[in-house]
Parts: sequence; structure tokens; C-alpha cells
Amino acid sequence: MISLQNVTKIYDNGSQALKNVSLDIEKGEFVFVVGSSGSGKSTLIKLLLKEVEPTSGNILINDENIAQISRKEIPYLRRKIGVVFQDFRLLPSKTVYENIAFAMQVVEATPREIRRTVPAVISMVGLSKKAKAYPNQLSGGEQQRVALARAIINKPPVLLADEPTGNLDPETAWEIMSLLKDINMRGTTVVVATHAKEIVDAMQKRVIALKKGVILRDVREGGYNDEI
Amino acid sequence: MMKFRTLKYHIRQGISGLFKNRLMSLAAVITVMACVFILIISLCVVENIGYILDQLETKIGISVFIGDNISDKDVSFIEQKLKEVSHVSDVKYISKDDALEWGRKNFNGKEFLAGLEEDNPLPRSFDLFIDSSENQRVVIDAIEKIQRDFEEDSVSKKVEENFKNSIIQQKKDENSENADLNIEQIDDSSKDADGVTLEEHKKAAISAIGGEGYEYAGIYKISAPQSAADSLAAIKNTVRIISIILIIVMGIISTSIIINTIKLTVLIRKNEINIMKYVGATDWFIRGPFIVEGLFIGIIGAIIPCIISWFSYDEIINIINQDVSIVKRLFEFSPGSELFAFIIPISLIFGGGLGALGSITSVRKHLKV
Ligand SMILES: Nc1ncnc2c1ncn2[C@@H]1O[C@H](COP(=O)(O)OP(=O)(O)OP(=O)(O)O)[C@@H](O)[C@H]1O
Ligand SMILES: [Mg+2]
Repeated sequence: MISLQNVTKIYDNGSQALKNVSLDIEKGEFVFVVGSSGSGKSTLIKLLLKEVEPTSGNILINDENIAQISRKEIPYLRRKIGVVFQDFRLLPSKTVYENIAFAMQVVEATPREIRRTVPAVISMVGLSKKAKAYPNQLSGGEQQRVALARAIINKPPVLLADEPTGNLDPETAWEIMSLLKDINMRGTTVVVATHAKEIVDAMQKRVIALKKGVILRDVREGGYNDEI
Repeated sequence: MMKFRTLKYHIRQGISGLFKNRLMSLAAVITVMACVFILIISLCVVENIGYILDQLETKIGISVFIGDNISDKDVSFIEQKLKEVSHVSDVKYISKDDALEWGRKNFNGKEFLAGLEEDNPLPRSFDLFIDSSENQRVVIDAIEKIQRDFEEDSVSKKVEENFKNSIIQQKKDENSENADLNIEQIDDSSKDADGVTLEEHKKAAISAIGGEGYEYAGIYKISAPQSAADSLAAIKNTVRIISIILIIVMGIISTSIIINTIKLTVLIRKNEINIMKYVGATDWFIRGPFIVEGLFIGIIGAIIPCIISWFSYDEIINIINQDVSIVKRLFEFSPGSELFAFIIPISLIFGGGLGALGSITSVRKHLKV
């Protein structure tokens, strides 16, 4: 599903974010990417979204080398990848419903499809009662649910999350994580970059630990700080 | 192919963008208005200069002066020939009296024209009008040919007459019985006493033509204001170039102002663009609403000055015609309906294009995510 082969990313200012990283993620996997600040987690996610280009190495998604796709094709790559961030990135002027429907309008779905799909996804993330609320009327956890709903509304095979619980209290963080697990259970490959030690330890999923741009550890069912 | 609902989405978003940033939209509309106004004014000026030059061009004629000694019959013969010259649109005969009348009207010092009625020294002439000043040279060449032909013809006739007379004289001298020799019998091959044929006499006389001007002078002078025609052509070219430069400069100035205005609305929507990129919107989908917004700004900004200038154009022309009365006698201004039939579409395209171009440029930076 996702494959990095000897990927190195050196930013224009010379900082080496990833050094010769190789990894494979299978379809339907749930993967935590952990590591201290500056270890390269966000860079990894940006590479998968083709937001930044690798300095060297290949990145394959669904056996397609994304280094070779043109600028014009990027939108179609991104339609296969849902993404959520620490800061939710909702549109303040749109309601919950509109924020989610927006992602479908962008891919030119029909109004009928939108009317049918959006309420279902809203209910899946447990926000049916808040469909008409604006983001500033929601708690952080609720906002992240909206962001998650938006990320999966177009049914992408892959969901990326860059510190999705970074702004949330532990209890809410748990809710979001279990929602991610639900999404994964429905067949979506999920990659979560996170600092949330307790959750990683408790969930016993695959953990890829980065340190200064290199893979320190890659364990099938591990915790945040497992010995090598 | 863009889906209809997408187009609807773009239009709805674009219009809502206009109203969300009301002040900015207003500023942009005013900017476009100012630019389109200047564009319309310069187009009006340029077009009128062209229109007036065209009129003056047809008024630059060629004057063909007729010798005093030729008969009225010859004059109408020459008139006929002049009318047959190609590129000549009109031939106007000016009699001696006409010439004097014209002189009276156009020169204030009437005194020096006084007393000329009895013995009018002014020549008869023709005024020729040509279709375009570019053809002046060809027409003059043709007139010169008519001039030459007429002269040759007259010289030939004269030589023939002299020849006949000399033959008759000769026969008389010889006291011949048939002294009243029928002159019809004489032709080009007839010989005189010295054995020279009439044809040879004619040739000699024709080759002598032109040494000191034309003796018979059907046309004794051709007067054409070559320099006026040249400078008209030059003015037309200059006007053309200036108008092109003006439109380009206006385009650049107003595009940069619009870019800066729309940049602000784009900046406000930066988050929105970012999110659209993450959920897989194509560049054109993101540009759509901004293009609609820019088009609206541009077209509204163009319509208003179009309407204002269209209604005031005829008024202004009337005022100029009334206050500067010589203008009316020399030329006419371009009629408003004709002028605005092309100024309005140009302005709308200019305004709309400007708006769309401004939006596309403003969004460009934010698409690189
Ligand atoms: N746009 C950029 N330009 C230059 N250097 C960058 C850029 N983005 C990241 N870096 C550098 O690359 C390295 C990896 O950064 P990255 O954001 O991937 O780390 P991270 O693991 O996500 O950290 P955090 O946990 O704090 O989010 C850092 O040293 C950072 O300074
Ligand atoms: Mg990060």
C-alpha cells in the first residue's frame, strides 16, 4: 500500500529531516509514527501527500511512484489520502455539515450524493446533534471529529493523521484514537504521527520510531519506548 | 468539461466572496472604472483622429490647371479622360468665375481681387479627389500621361495642317491645274517638296515637345500636395502606435492594481485554499470562484464608465461643434453609436479580462501547497 525506498529529505536550508528511510505499510494496517520533536514525523506525512519532494529515493502508494506524477495529478493523489492535523483546519464560516460537504463539492460530487453521504458520516463520528453548529461553538475534540469526518468523506484508502490529539486532553484524545481505530476497522489504512505515549502503549499497534530522521525501531505490536 | 453544478458552485462562491469583502470589492471596482474610463477616453480621441484624418484625406485633392488657349470642347475631352483614371473618386470642374469666387471667400484682402471680373486671369481647373492618399502617385502619373497625349495630339494636328498648307502652296507655286488639290488625299506617307513624309514631320515635332513646357497646354499644371498626403499617412501611423502603447500601459497598470486588491481577498481565503488542496481540489476548481469574482469586478467596473461616456459623448461633441464653429466646416466627429458599438465590447473584454487575469495571478502563489 505504502512503500518508502531509501528516502532522504534535506530541506532547502540544509536540515536533514529524513535519512535513507525505507519502510512498507500493508493495506489495512494501523501504524503509529513516534519520535521526539524534529525527528521527521511531519516530513514523512508531507512526503506522502506530495507536499514536499524527497531529495532522493522512491515513494510508492498503491504501486504508483508518486515522485513521477505531475503537478496536475496531485489532486487525484490526495483524493486517495485523507488527512487530519493537530489544529483541525476547519473553515470558521461554515457549519459542521458545510465543512464536511465542502470536501465532496471539491471533488465535484452530485448534490444527491452529498445529501446522502454527509449525514451518515456525521453520525459515524457522533456529531449528529451538532451538524448546524459552527466550529467556534465546538470543543477541540468535536472539531477534530469534524476534521476526521471530512478526511474520510470521500472514502480514501489511506488516512494520515499528524498529531491528531496534540491539542486535546487525554480523555478526548482517547475518543479520537478509538475513532481512528474504528475507521481502520472498516478497512482504511491509518498512519498516525503522535507523541501520545499512553495511547500508543495501550493500543499495541505497529510502531515506527524515528530519531533524527532515521528509523530507530519498527515493531509489529509495540509501545512508545520499547527496548530494541 | 466542467460540470454545470461546479460552474454554479463557482458563481455562488464568487458572488459571496464579492459581498464578504465588500470594501475591497468596491475599491477594485473603482480602480477598474478609472482604468476603463481612461481607456474609453483614449479610444475616443484616437478613433476621432482617425475618422477626421480619413475625411481630410479625401479632401486632399489634385488640382489640374487648364491652359487658357484650349477650347471648351477640349476641356470636356480632358474632363472625360480624368474621370476614367482609376482611384479617382470625383472630378469637379472649376470655371474662372468659380475660382474668383473661391478666392473672394478665402482671402480677406479682397482688394487685390478687385476689378478682375472683366479680365479674369485665374485659370480653369479640375479638382480631383482620390480614394486614398496612398494612390496619389499613380493618379498623378496617369494625369501626366493625359497631359502628354493631349500635347502630342495637338502638335500632330498642327503639323498636319502646316503640311497641307505647304503642299497646297507648293502646288500653287507650280501653277498646277489641280491647285485646289483635295487635302483629303494627304496621309502620313505623303511627301513634301524635300521628300520628307508627313509622318517624319510629326515624329520630329513630337520629339521636340516638352523642351520649354507645353505649347498647347491642355493641362498646363498639375498641383498635388504630396507632403500633405505623406504627413497624413505619418500621423495615422503615429496615432495607431500611440493607441496600442496606451492600451498596453493601461492594461499593465490596472492589472497590477487589481492583482493587489484581489490578493487581499485571496489572503483572507488562504485557509480555505489550503484545505481545498488537502482534500484534492484541482487548481482550476480553486481558481474558479476567484475568477468569477474578478470577472464581476472587471465587468461592473467596465459597464459603469461605458454607460456614462456613451451618454455624454454626443453632448460633448455638440458643445465642441457649437463653440468652435470652424470645426463643423472642416470635418465631422465620429458618430457616437458607431464609436460605442466597438468601444463597449472592447471595454467589457478589457475589464473582464483584467479581473480574471488579476484573480488568476493572485491565487497562483497559494496553489503551491
Ligand atoms: N519547511 C521546512 N524547512 C526547513 N526545515 C524544515 C522544514 N520542515 C521541517 N524542517 C526540519 O526538518 C526536521 C524534521 O521536522 P518535522 O517537522 O518533520 O519533525 P516532527 O517529527 O514532525 O517534529 P514535531 O514532533 O515537533 O512536529 C526538523 O529539524 C525541522 O527543523
Ligand atoms: Mg510535526
